[in-house]
Amino acid sequence: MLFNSFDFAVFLVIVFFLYWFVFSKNLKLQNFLLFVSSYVFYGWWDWRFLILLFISTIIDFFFGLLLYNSQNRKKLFLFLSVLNNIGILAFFKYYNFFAASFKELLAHFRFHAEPYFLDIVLPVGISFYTFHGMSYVFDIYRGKTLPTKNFIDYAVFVCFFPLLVAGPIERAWHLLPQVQKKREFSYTQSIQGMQLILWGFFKKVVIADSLAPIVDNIFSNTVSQSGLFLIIGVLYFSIQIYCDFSGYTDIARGTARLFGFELLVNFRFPYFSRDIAEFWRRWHISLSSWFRDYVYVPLGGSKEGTFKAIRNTLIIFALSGFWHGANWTFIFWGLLHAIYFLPLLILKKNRTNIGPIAPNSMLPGFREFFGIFTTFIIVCFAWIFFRAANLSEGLNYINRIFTNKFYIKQKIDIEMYYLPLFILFLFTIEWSCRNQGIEQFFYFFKNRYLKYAACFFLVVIIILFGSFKQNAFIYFQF
Amino acid sequence: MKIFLTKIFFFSLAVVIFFFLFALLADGHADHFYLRFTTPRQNSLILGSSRAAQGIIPDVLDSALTKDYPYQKFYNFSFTIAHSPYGPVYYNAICKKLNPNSKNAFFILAVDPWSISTAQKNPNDSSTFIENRLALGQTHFINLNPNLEYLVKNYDEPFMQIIYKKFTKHDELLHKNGWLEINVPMDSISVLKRTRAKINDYANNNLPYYHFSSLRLRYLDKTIKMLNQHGKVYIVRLPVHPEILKLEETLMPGFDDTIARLSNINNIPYFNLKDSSKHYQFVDGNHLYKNSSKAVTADIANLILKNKNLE
Repeated sequence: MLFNSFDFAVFLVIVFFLYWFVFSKNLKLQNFLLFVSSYVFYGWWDWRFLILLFISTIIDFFFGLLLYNSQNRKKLFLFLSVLNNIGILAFFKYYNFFAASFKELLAHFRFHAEPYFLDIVLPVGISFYTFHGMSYVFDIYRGKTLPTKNFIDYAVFVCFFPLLVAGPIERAWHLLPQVQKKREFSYTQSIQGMQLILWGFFKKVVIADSLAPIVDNIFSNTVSQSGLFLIIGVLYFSIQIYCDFSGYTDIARGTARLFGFELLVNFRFPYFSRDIAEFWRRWHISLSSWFRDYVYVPLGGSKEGTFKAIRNTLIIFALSGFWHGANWTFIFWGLLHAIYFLPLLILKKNRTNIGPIAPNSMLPGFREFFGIFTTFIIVCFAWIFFRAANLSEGLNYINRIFTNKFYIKQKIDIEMYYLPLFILFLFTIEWSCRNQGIEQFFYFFKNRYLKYAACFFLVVIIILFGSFKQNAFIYFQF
Repeated sequence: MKIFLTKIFFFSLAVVIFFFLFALLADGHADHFYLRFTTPRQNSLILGSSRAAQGIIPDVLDSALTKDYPYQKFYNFSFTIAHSPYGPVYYNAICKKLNPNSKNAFFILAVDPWSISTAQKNPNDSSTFIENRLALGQTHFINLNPNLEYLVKNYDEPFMQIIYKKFTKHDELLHKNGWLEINVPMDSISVLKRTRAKINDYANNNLPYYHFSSLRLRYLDKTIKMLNQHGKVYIVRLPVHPEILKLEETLMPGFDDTIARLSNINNIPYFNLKDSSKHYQFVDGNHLYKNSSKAVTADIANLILKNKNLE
């Protein structure tokens, strides 16, 4: 089920009413409702993958208990649990990539091999729920959280429908206690939830989905595009992927608030980052912090000398890229970010920009502006490889920016006129909320009627300018 | 909770009212189908695919038949070969669009091999028919104005296009009587270009995949039988470019015999105009240009009158 579908609107209303009016007095029943509705939500795509989700959930649940109760076989159970999750990922997501890469490698040495390729569909959100499961057993192993004995509670932690298919990647210490605790309806939390949903929809259907056909057209016809349009294509894709993914997260966080849950913040206005290290503290935070906590730190982080710090950085950026998909383009994208990041790490400047952005003024100073501008440009450059079908296509794209005629007069659709205005509106609002969070936007309006008017204005923009072709969210494929 | 729900209710109500008022702005420029979902039930219908949608003009029929049938008003309820081939979806939509009290009405059913064929592997498995997923298959209410269900489920573009198209010059207009008027450059180069593209499209994208469907033929028969209870039914094969006709002969060599048999069984006339293409001008080889649409419609009206006189 897609958030931007009529089915989801009906589903949400039904679950909300059952949750607060029918099952509100019994926590176990409420959680059971969340469990069942999350499976309905997921099964709406393809019910067969529910089996995989269920098996993955039940295995991690029992490994969590076994690991906690074991005295001397903790490592074994941790290993088996990780093996199970990585095995599921490797089979469904990476097998064909490995087989094809193996075939290419052999061909390089003039050997011929015909590996068996799987003809299967990638289960939606597989990278998200397996990472949920792994964080749970890691945290139990480290003594950071206690295992739950209630399977339904654990299953809700893994499959809670707002975050099931595209995150944020939650941690057991953060979400599980909320599942186990009685929730009370909060007017403020629910209103804020609705406002977040509204803002998420604006980003998704007005900006991301309207940009999608323009970006697709530019990236699929690079030969006939002017250099200028190729540059616009990269800029638009950078904005599209941000609005698509952060829009999803806003809708997910807003929906969770309607049920009394607070999810992790996943984006903190990443395009206002002053250097690449800050970008990674603001972009897909739940994934980067996951790799930091469960890969980078256990490998020694940056505390065991420069060589190990560089090695560990390369590993987590490559893994982070690979997490996005079974393609060399993603690995290259990750490594490119590592190359951006390493000078800051080596010069120990990776934590220079951790404070608020332009805290006492409306506009950034020259130095901040320069940092934001250059960071945005290098991030955009890396997106070319993320978006390209393969590495040579990415390189061709860059080549054509400089070799194609810079400007060709061509027919411009009406979207090309109004979309820049909405993008300007988006970044103006986000800039004004940069140090507090987007919730601040609705607090600007002291008068409640003005607040309603602002919400109504957003709804009108969504209705009139939104694209309702039910485009899936980009991050579903990861 | 009570305050929250009350606010959400009134806010949602305001949004629905806004959308309702906005939808009233939608007219024949909105898209190729919307208006047909907003008109009340009708008496006399023109049915078929896009050839009929553009090629048979209700006003021309009305004025030609007005002397003998002064209260007769035709309505063009034709869509495209994807949306409205004969089958369960179109049959149900026709039932919903037809005034159940309609008597002595006229029904013109445009046919061609595509309208009783399908691109599905099993041509008789109606659950896989493409029209199930399109406007007629997805929209329950087809006689509502404004039709919010249609707009929400089927309008493919941002809704602001409704206003934009309304106030800007546009080449396409769906008239209130259901006729789709297309205005495109008719210089020989443009026509040749479009015709080549259309022939290639039919040859490469349709012909290799389409198969005759006996289920669709049965539904054509069922449609005729149902409409026969409300008036007089005429089957018409509209003219097309000879190259497209060739493709149709390849798809279904015995098509005319099949339709002739069907018309005999149901005792209704079959006006076969397929060989008269040289008298008409086409937009793209498949669809008649509006001047030719007038001429073809006038010819159909004459055939109806002649046929009536023979009875």
